Parts: sequence; C-alpha cells; structure tokens
Amino acid sequence: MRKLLALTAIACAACGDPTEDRAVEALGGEAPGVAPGPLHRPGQPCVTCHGESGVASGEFSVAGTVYFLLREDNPAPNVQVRIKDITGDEVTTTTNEAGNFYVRTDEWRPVFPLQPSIRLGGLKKQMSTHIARAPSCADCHTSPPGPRSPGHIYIATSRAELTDAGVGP
Amino acid sequence: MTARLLAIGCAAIVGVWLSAACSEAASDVRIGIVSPNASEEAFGPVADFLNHRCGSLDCHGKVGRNLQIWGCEGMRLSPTDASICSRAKGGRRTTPEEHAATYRSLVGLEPVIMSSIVENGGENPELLSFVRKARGTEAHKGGALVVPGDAQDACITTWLAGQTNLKACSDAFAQPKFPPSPSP
Repeated sequence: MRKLLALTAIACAACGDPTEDRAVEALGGEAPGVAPGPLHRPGQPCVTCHGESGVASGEFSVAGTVYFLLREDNPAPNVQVRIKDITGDEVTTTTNEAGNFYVRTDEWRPVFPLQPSIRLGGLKKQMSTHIARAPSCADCHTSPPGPRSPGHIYIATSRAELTDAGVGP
Repeated sequence: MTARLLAIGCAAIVGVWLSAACSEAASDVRIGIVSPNASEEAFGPVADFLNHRCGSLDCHGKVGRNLQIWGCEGMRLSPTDASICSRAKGGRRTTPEEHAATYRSLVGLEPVIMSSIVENGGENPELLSFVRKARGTEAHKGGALVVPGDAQDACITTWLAGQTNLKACSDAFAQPKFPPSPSP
C-alpha cells in the first residue's frame, strides 16, 4: 500500500502542464547579476510563473512593467499603477527600480475586465482598451509594437513630455 | 470455394471503387450559403464593436481562436501595423480588409446555421454559438458580455436581420462600463 502511494505521488509530481512548462522554458534564465525577486525579469509575463499553478513562490493577480517611453527600454520607477475591476473595486501599487509592479492574490482578486491607469508626477495615462482576462501585462504588451502588440507600457509618448513634466531618466 | 471467395473479393473491390468514384468532389467545389451583409456600411460598425468588446489581444484577438477578430484594438492583419489605433502614437484605425477578415471568421464558424438565420430575417439568433456565448447562455471564458436587447446585442442581431442598427453599434462602445472612481 505504501509503495502504491509513493508511486502515485511520484507520478503526480511528474505530470506537469506541458503548455505551462514550455511557456516557462521560453522565458529563459535569469539575467546575469539579477537574483530572483521583485527586480527580476522586467518586461516578461510575470504570471506565467507567479500564477495559481506556477513554479514561483508568490501568486500574483496582476503584474507588469512600466517604461518611460514607448520605443525605449528605460524602466520607470515610482509610477503609481491603479487598476480598477468591473465591479469598481480598485487597487493601487507603485513600480520599483526595475519598473516592475505586482499585486498578490492575497491582496486583491479582481473581477475581469480591468481598467488600468498609471501616473508619474503630472503625467497620467489610461489604457485605451481594457484587460479582458490576461493577468500578465506582457502577455500582450511586448516590445517593439507590432501586429500582435501595442508595445510595452509607457508613461510618455515623447522626451519632451517627460521634460515638461519634470520626470524621466 | 476458392472461385466463390475470389468473386466476393472482386465484388467488394468494385463496390469500394464505385462508392469512392461517386463521392469524389472537385477540389474547387464550394457549398453555397446565404450570408449576412458583408458591406462596410452594414458590417463595418459591427466589426468595430466586436473588436472593441471581444477582440483584445488576450481574447479573440488571437489567431488560435475559432472566432478571430481583427482590428486596431487587437491583432492586425498587416505585418507593418501595430495594435494601436491612434495615429499620433504611430497607429492606424481598423481597415476594411480587417473588417472582411473578421467577417470571414465569424460567418465561417457555423455557416449552415448562419444561412438559416439570415434566410429567416434574423429570427432566433441564439441558434448561433457566437450569440449564445456572448449572452453567456453557453460556456464562455469571457462570461456573459451582452444582455438580450441591449445596444451590444442589438448591434449584432440587427445585422443578422439585414438592417444594422448603427446607433446601437455606436452606443455599444460604452461597454464595458466601469463604475466611476471615488477619488481622482
């Protein structure tokens, strides 16, 4: 009986979700010099690993990375990220040095669709569409912009806009 | 005995050959359907609404979906376009070609049922899985998005009936409606 239980446990452990496994594998390894943590993997779809059945510790309900400009890769720290769900429930968080932000599921479990907005100093941007179901911003917001992406999330459309607002790299 | 078996075998082979010959169809044969209006005037506003409501990149704005919706709020047809509508941000509004691609995907889902509904002046639109899923009466990952009789529903069903309600399609853009924030 014990042997049977042990075999069952091993079999269950071996049965991962191949789609999820491939998605995790496609993300590649950590960047040199950046340890796993809040600053790692900016611009990647966080919830691929930080999901309900993900391989990382910590489950996120929404997560992403904000940059200063649409076509440049300077991460934007200290951006206030405000996300509202369809019931009107809201959460606010702030991006870290890597431009990353995340909301843990034990803090907030939104009802999709979601309407996010970001603010830095006098600059404010609201997503022109809505998030229908993807908890990782980078599921859609990849760089550069193309036929399957609006580009990454950005706080300003030009350097002049950043300068006028007194913010920026 | 051997001759009898041989005769049965031959008969079987001839039978198979005959039935194959009878069922062979030319590669360019098409089934005919009664399709809803595909014009820009009739379907363009419906396609734009569908792109707004259902065609985000995380839903039907994906090539892996059975129902594929194309447009500037989701996936683009041209490799040189981005998923951006605003010209100021380097985008381009949804094109007639994208409307046509959405039309082909939608009408091709259940062509026989679609034909029947169009032939009957748009009666019983809920026979289409597409309508049932939008209304949430059939399993749909996105849940119930439209309510029978609301502007969104009317945009779709009036198009199926051959008289697209343009105001309904325009009003449908107000969805999804998020409650106002308590503070700025």
